[in-house]
Amino acid sequence: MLILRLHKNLKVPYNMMNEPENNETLVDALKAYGLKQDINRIHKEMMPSLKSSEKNIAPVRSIFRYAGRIAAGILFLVIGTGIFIYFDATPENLFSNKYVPYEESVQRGEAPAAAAIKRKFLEGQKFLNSGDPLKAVLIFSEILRSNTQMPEKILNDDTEFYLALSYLKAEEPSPALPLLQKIHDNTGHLYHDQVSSWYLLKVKIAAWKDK
Amino acid sequence: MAVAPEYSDDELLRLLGSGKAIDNPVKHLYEKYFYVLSSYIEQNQGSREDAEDIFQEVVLTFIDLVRKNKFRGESSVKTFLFAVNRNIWLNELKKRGRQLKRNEKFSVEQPDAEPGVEKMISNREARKQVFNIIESLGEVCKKILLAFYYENLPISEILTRLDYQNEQVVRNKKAKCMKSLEEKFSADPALAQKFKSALQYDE
Repeated sequence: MLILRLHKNLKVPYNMMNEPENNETLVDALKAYGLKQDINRIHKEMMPSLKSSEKNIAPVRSIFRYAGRIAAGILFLVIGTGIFIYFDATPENLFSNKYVPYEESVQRGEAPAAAAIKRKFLEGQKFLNSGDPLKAVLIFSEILRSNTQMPEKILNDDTEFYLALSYLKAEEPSPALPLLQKIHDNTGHLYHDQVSSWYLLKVKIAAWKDK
Repeated sequence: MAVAPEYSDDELLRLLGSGKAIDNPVKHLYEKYFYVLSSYIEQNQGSREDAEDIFQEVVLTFIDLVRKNKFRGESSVKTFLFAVNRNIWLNELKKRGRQLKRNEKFSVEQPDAEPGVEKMISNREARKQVFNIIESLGEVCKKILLAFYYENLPISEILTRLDYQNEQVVRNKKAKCMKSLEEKFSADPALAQKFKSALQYDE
């Protein structure tokens, strides 16, 4: 009260004479509080429009999220399949997927040359069957060379196919690839149905891994 | 939807730091960052109400730091707001006793966008308590003190807003309100100290 009276007498504003000790902190507190009030006012002003625009955005956003999940699923599937193919594409697997022991057919009155090639072919089959694919490769390659000089090619399609399998059995997918590609491209080839695009892709991967 | 003007980081800092009208810069912050910051809260156990409260605190902290020249500009405004948002929310979760191992790990792994962000906001509890003290002053005191100290209005203009006879009465009322605030404030010396530290963002 004494200070208030003194202030009245001197005509000096009270607050200038009697600033509390913590005035600076209190003023800071008031400024922070005022700012909070201001932000709260703007918040109340902004939220209705933000909420309404969110309603418009939400369906679009959920479509994107849904599409994103599907894309991620597909990507996961593709990557998973790719990894599976990569590890599955081994010459051993490619061989065992396709190898069926050749069944000898009886033909009477064969020409001597044809009979000789057939004997060789069966010999190659024996090597392939007994786990000696390199010898089988030599024999089958020799048959293909002989066939080029023959007026009528004997067991040519069979030899090409089994030569490719012999390469695979010998873990040499690279030389098997052009043979299998040829069989795949030729729809009239006896073993065309055996070499699908999928199988050929796996052989290509195996050849690429072998490089 | 209300469209606030677009500002670059530099313009935003200049406007917020100037202490003048903050409406447009704050609206810009809402339009640009509210969705992303609130999604973080909602994806980490927070409700929409939590997200709105935390966003207001983020904006308050940001402006306060800018005005006290504590925002060093070592990161973009966006990165800084993200860091403040994350820290405030993780503190809030800890306070609520919902210890999220995953979030704590995230918090440790993510370096602060600006050094000392976590420290800067760690005293928000003290700030809340002081705001409650100001609330308890009553409407008239709040009006006078905010008009004078926050809006920097002269007493003559404050008089036009209130039902008082003359400026002197307003001055006296202001002094009484300030005295009352100081008394409430001094009743808890520990709080006063904590708040002083919180306001100054002591590191």
